[in-house]
Amino acid sequence: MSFEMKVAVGEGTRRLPVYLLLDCSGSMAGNSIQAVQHGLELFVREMMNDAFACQTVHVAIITFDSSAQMLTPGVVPIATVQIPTLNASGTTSLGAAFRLLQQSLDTDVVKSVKGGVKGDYKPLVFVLTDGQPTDDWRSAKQDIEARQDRKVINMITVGCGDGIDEQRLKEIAIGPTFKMDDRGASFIEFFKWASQVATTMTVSYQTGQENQPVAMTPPPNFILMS
Amino acid sequence: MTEVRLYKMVAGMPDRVTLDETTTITGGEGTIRFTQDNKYAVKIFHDGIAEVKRDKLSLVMRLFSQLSSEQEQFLLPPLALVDELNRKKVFGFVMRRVPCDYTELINTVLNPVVAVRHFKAGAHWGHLLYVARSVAESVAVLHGKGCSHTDIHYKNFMVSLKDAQAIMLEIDGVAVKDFLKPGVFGLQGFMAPEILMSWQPDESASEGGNYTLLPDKVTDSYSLAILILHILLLRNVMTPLTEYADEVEESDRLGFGNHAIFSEHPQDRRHRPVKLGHPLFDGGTLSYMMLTPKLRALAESTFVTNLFVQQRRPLAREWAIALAVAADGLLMCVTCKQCFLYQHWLPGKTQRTCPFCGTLPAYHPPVVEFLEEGVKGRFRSIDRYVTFSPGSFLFADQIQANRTPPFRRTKADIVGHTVWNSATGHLHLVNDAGQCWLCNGQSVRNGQSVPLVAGMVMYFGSGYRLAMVRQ
Repeated sequence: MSFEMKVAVGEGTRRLPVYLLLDCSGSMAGNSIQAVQHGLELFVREMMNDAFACQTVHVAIITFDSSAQMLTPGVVPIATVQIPTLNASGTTSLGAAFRLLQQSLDTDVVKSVKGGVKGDYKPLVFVLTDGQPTDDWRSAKQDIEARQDRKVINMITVGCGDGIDEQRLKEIAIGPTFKMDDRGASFIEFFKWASQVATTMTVSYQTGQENQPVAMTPPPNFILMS
Repeated sequence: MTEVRLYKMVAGMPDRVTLDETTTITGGEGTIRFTQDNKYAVKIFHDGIAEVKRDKLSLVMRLFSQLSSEQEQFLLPPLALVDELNRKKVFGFVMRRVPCDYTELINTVLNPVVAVRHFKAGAHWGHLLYVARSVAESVAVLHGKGCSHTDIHYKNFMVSLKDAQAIMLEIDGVAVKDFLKPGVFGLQGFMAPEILMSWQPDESASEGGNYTLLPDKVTDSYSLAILILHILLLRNVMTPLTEYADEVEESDRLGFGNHAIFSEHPQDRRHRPVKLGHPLFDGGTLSYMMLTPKLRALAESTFVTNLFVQQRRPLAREWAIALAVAADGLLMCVTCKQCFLYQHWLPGKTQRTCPFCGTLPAYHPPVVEFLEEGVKGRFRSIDRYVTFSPGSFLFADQIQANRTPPFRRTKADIVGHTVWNSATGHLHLVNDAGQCWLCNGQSVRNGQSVPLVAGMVMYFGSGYRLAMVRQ
């Protein structure tokens, strides 16, 4: 009979909160939402395969259609993420997703306070959308940009599909913006790249480069918008 | 087919190699590919870096051209320089390929959760002790050549727990004081506090500031100590548990720098883990108290006494010897199957519990202390202890004066072995050596045995160490 080894990660490790804001509106139905599903599973697997990222990265998954939902109970260790079946329907409530992100930043991200417990690294946010937001997203975006506390300085927005409005995509984004096609393979590449960015960030923070722009080499078919 | 032409090859290297087409690893400095015969790795530098590296690589090759086979196993020295790739001028170098079953050290020891995956696959803590020794040996070789690594951490070693060995990476980036400048300052958590404390904010700098102190052998010694203890205790023993500023970056720089505190500091408990010393397999945290007195002394010297007195930090060679000697004190726990250092130095046997599962050994093994002849024929302790269990061996280096344990022992090194004698109810040491031993006045010839009972004194002959069974 093998001995049961109940071990803990250990104290003092900072978390890197990674938010995935995923468009599940009606226009994502079919191959796109299936590819997002597979891509999400790949993202979790890639994180689990990297010892350091596995310990550091904590994930929150927010999907948005006619409303926004947090699929994870806040920001959770990557090892505990359980991915439900994703469905695509309804409109594109990006503003609701931004507000949910705000709430989570206030409640789930641990702030660094001198003399207090160890805080989190600044969050990394990925936004994946294929269309025009249909709610009041501008004020929600402004609120995020205006944050002084637990700032969002690393947000990457990716627009997918040939029908994407590039001007609107740039207006939505806070930070680097990319465009990709809506082939299933591109969604997989997005999640693989997102996992690589998160892994790179964990190492960058270890070398004291927290405030530097993340050096990112996106997949070849991703077009940098800004 | 990709052919690479070489120059400045070491003896035995061909002047050209053919690369495997399937695998390319791209990093910040260049690309790494492997030869078709799987023997070598070829690193080709990116265009902007090649010129900077050219002179440096030639010097590094000269520095590491005379390594012994025992030294070479811990490093990947350049074996040749690259002149052309498919007839196109490039620059790079060739090194031995790390076997495919090796993995980054971080994947083995980052934390207990990661380590347990390997324990469940059959590895045990004794393997980690040997890995720590090979890390120390690699740094000792480097320092012996007058070089410093400057970037010692768990991502720059490849390790095999099956072989219980680590191999150092990034040797092409070594620094030589006043001659070859370091290219990096290290990884936070492993950087010496004096480097972190030398940070000068500078808005014009790409990283918001610069470190003004360059890493060298002395800062290497600190990083090495951090890494050794990380391997053995599965945690960074200097991790701050509180914030020292409102910004993470500044807080970490202070926490590992100005406010660096050993997690087991005798007076300052600010960074002390809550479950320190509690059995690891019950959610606890390994304590450095599980280590030998010598290893603890080296840790205290580095992290307490001489934390900010850099020149007095223990050297890599000291760590290597202490780790080598410690390995002779391993005992396997029958409950959890982990190996641990049997704590013969603790006065009460009831304190000598397994640090992994907390159980007391059902059988307290005999511990033999070795002494060496000094002035006027007096024998003095050399702080070498061997723990014997049934099926253990006595090795030549343990009884020969002035010898430290080799990295690998072979059958040829065996001079004795232990067997359980049910008639006497004691563990016996059988003489497998050519010469006769004298044990408490009795001759013990080849094939005969002596009981390992407290007070037994074993004399192996003139010029050899003396052995005393302490318990």
